[in-house]
Amino acid sequence: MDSSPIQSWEQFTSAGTGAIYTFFDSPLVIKGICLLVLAAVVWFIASSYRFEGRGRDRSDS
Amino acid sequence: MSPDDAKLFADKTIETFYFWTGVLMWLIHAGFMAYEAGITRRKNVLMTMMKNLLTCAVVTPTFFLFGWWIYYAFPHGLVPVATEAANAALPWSAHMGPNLQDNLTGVFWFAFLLFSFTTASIMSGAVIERIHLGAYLLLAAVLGSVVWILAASWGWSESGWLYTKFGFHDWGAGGCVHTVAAFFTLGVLLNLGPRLGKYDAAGKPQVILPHNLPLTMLGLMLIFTGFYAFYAACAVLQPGGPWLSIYLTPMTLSSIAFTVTMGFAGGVMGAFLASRGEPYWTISGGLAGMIAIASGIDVYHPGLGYLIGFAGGMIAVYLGNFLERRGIDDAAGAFAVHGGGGMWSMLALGIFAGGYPQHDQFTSLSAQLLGMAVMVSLGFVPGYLLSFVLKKKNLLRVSKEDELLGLDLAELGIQGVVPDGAVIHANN
Repeated sequence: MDSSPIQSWEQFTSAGTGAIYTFFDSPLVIKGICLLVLAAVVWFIASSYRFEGRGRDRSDS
Repeated sequence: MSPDDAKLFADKTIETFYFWTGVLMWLIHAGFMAYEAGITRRKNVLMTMMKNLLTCAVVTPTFFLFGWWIYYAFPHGLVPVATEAANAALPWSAHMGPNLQDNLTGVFWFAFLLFSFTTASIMSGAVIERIHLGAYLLLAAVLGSVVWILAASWGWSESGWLYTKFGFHDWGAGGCVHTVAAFFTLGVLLNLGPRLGKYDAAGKPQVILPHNLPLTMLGLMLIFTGFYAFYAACAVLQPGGPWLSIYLTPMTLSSIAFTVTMGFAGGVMGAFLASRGEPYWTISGGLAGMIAIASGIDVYHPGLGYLIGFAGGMIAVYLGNFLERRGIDDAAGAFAVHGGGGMWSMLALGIFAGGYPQHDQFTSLSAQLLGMAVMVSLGFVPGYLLSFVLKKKNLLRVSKEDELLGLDLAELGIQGVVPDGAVIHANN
């Protein structure tokens, strides 16, 4: 997947070049990535409640 | 400031930077020692820690004698070249010792030596509790001072053929350090076999409980800390210009702060979810996450780094369980974390970061796939063959009696963890 905002070696090494990160030229993709990060954090926190009782369940059985 | 003074100041700045990254990388080895001491059983604690200590001792002189030279002598394949840089890396050159005209060779060698310690140490946890010390040290010297540095010469250098001909990109050594070490380890594990008691009569895996999981977790925190220095040492400090990658592409040190930390967080969360909150795998997932982002630390958006680390943490858990079911007893999860993380690292760069200029080439999925094949082969083949020969000569594994007694008593004659109140009679 071509995600580079840099197209040439000259541009890469130019003193005026700024952000070089993946998908910098595609703001919608970056926003989608941030949304996925948020979804993963929510999933993680919700799951942490589910896993809390595991040891107790195991000792009960 | 005169040009001579400016050059001296620049050299001293670079010298200071790499000296301290090397010092801080020792934390990785304090961490490996604590990590492995925690997962082993009480009867093997001291021997396990000795093995970590001796890894550093055996890799240092061998890396001085030929490891550093290999890095400069084999950029084009298996035939050495006699370039000025290669000749300067020979142990009898004017650069390989105190030299008032060369501040830098020693600190660069030191940083690479610490990378070598890391590579050899990746194997050490997987083989604990049953490998002969001599066999382990031979394997560690070959992995730490020959195999990985040959891979680095090919794929982790601005003159290596994987980079110059194909545009392979592996910024933080997910390939030449983690993947090579993991596949070398896999080759050794296939010949070494599982610990006694790891599998029941029906072949079902048993969990051999760590004797001190908190120590293991502390060890991993030290490894995390040391890995920032590891990654900082992967960057090329260039006074008067931008930081450069080892391929001499421009980058920032900030990218390490962003991406490594996000990758760590993603790895912890991914492993937590995949293992259903199991502490050992959760914290190991942090390391898998930090490895998963290695190849593209210089270019990833931090959010992408998090997601790649998240997947890396999950991969480590699933891969570890898969290996265990296949009868491969990797006591430290080394293959799962370093092999899974390292392979995913190279692949993810090909998937998510194509199109970056690499001098005459561009980053691409095909270059990454080629690099993966090379790193896997270069690690697995020597690890398997050398351990196979050692096994045939009955030099690879300790006796059943020694394994049951524990290596602390069998090989060292003392216990590392002594019960309270235990005494022995003094000789005098």
